[in-house]
Amino acid sequence: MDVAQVTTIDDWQWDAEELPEDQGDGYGSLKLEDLPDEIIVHILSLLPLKDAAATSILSSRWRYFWRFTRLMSLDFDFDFDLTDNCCAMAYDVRYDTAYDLRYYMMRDSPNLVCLRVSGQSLALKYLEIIRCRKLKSVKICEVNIVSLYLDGKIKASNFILRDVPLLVELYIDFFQCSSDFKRLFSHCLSQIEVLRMIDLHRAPYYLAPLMKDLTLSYGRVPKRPHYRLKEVEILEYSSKFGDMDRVLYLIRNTVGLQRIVINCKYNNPLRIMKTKQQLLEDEEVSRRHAMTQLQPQVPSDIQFVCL
Amino acid sequence: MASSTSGSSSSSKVVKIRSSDNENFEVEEAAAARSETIKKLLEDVGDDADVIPLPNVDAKTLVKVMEWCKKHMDDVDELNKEEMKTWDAEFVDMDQSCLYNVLLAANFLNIKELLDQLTQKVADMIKGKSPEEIRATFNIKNDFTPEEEAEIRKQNAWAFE
Repeated sequence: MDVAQVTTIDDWQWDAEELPEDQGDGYGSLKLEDLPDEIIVHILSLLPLKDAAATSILSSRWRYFWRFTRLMSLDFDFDFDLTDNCCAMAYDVRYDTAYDLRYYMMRDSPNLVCLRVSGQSLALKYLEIIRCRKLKSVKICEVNIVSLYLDGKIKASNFILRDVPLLVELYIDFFQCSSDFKRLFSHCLSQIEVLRMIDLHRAPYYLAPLMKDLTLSYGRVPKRPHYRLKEVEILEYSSKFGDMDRVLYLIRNTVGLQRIVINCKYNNPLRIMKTKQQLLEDEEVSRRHAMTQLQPQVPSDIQFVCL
Repeated sequence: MASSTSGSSSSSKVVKIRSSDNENFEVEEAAAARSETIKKLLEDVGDDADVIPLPNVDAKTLVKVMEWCKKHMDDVDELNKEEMKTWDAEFVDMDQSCLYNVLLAANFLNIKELLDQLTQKVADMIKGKSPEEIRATFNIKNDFTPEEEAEIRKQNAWAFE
């Protein structure tokens, strides 16, 4: 019956204009609203966060769409100042929102230069900044974040962390940092419960005085020792360079410390001058040093772990 | 040896597809196979397939989609990339109703690249507009009371600054 004639696409096109309108219902009147939810969410995922969130006001159907967007480009709320002739690079920035933007990760954003996160109304709790090579400055203030992970070359002088009353976990990995980071800690160190950091002197060519600076930064606090710092992991612990003294200093000035992890493994590419075998031997020496020299001096109420 | 005039390289094997309104079309298999859905159907039925029915796509929309598929049948070399971009931009520049029809079809036919282009187009239409402008553009009826609206604005205040 309806073995209608077969047309090729090209032929058909020319008559196509005759058909549309008189088909009446359906065709002429399809609206954005007629699209299924998942497509609308897909579309919103392509918008900057601010634009997507602003659609919550459109109608009751639209109210929560934006919250379901998983991968979303953003350019507003985290407020990028894109200097250095970078333009519109916010598109490279992606974040994964499990729920309500509580978790935000920025990874491999090669053109991101400046990041600012602020706003008490943000639900943001966990922030990770990873491998953003050009990132020069970070300002995080007035946010209720709980956890911050930072890995990059940011100078401490370009790092501002302020009014983060709930921050308790701090993971800092900027061994290539070329400046002190006293300022980084000054506002929030007393509230940190978990601190994980690269042992900074490990990059002697870049920042010889750095650990001293850190010590100085601690040096200021003896009058009010850290009550809330509960767990510390020292990365790339070495038997040399006075690491042990620094660790002991930290312990003495950290009243609530419950657990200290001494990690002797090398991750640092700067170790490249040595062969793998040498590195392993170094690690072993450091490990033995930590066990025999350091551990006996650690108070027994602090759990001591050596990796 | 003798290549076809249209520029499509290899064998131009043809498949038949049928729209929801019972129009039958012949398209090159390479074009039709841009649709994962059709590709899968073709694999399932094998060579003795007569006509592939596509009950969710009407003729006009199907023609539009296949037009895109034909254009995107071959890999684009560097030289033609710019040209292709322009073509794509013109392609998605259609009236809203048509856009959503093609979008739904691309979704059903599972043509990811086309779907991406179309959703991007809609996203671009939303971007930078105020809520009022968006409502007007897309004919969305505001069913909030002023109180509710104020409440939502307050909740997501940062989005409305």
